[in-house]
Amino acid sequence: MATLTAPQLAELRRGIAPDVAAVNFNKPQVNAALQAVEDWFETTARTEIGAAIETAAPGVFTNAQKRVIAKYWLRQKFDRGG
Amino acid sequence: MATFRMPILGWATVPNASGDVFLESYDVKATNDVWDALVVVFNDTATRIGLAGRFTVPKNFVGTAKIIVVWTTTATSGNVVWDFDYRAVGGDNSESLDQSGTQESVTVTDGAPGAAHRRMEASVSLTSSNLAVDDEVEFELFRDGADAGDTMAAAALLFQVLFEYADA
Repeated sequence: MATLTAPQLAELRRGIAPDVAAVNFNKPQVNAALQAVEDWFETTARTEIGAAIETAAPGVFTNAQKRVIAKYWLRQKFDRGG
Repeated sequence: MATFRMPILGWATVPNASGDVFLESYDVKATNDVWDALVVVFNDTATRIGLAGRFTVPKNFVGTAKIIVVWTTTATSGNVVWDFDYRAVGGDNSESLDQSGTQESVTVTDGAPGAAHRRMEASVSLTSSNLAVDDEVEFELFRDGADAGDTMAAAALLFQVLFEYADA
């Protein structure tokens, strides 16, 4: 589990603020949400995504390739309304 | 005695090297894209980011000096912390314009508007005895993202900085 640094949080907030309809939350609230996502990813999702890909295609993808698959799936899911 | 307000941003105004303070056409962040004049963007960061400038104290200055920060944002929650650091330099061939340290640093915390893009005024008093007629006032206006009080999770858009004062 990694603790997001202040510069990392600031960079993330700079991306979030223009991308939401209204910024009706403050820095501590969005920081807590981002850290929660980070914690959940590190404790649960990272392992489970890898395991899901491994189940679907055993021994085919390297970890680096799995990261690229996950990255583009996230883009499809949230940036393009998939 | 009357109260005056004088705009103090001008050709000498320059963002600091943070990269998070910059001039931008207002229509980039505005919704209606009608009023395209420049605003100064102060990004949401975890550091203290600034805009430097200077102005001359007017001939009719007597006292009650204030700085008025006119700003807005897309946010409707959180606070922004404005710091104003300055040094007044006077005389003719007597004082250096290149001095270290500030004469005074003042701070004001202002809440986000009730609706996006409303005109906001943050006012902070200066020590009037620091200032004299014809002084050159070298200043830097900061958004202090390192202050725990700066909780606004969006860029602050600076429209104007005013020097308010009273005459005799």
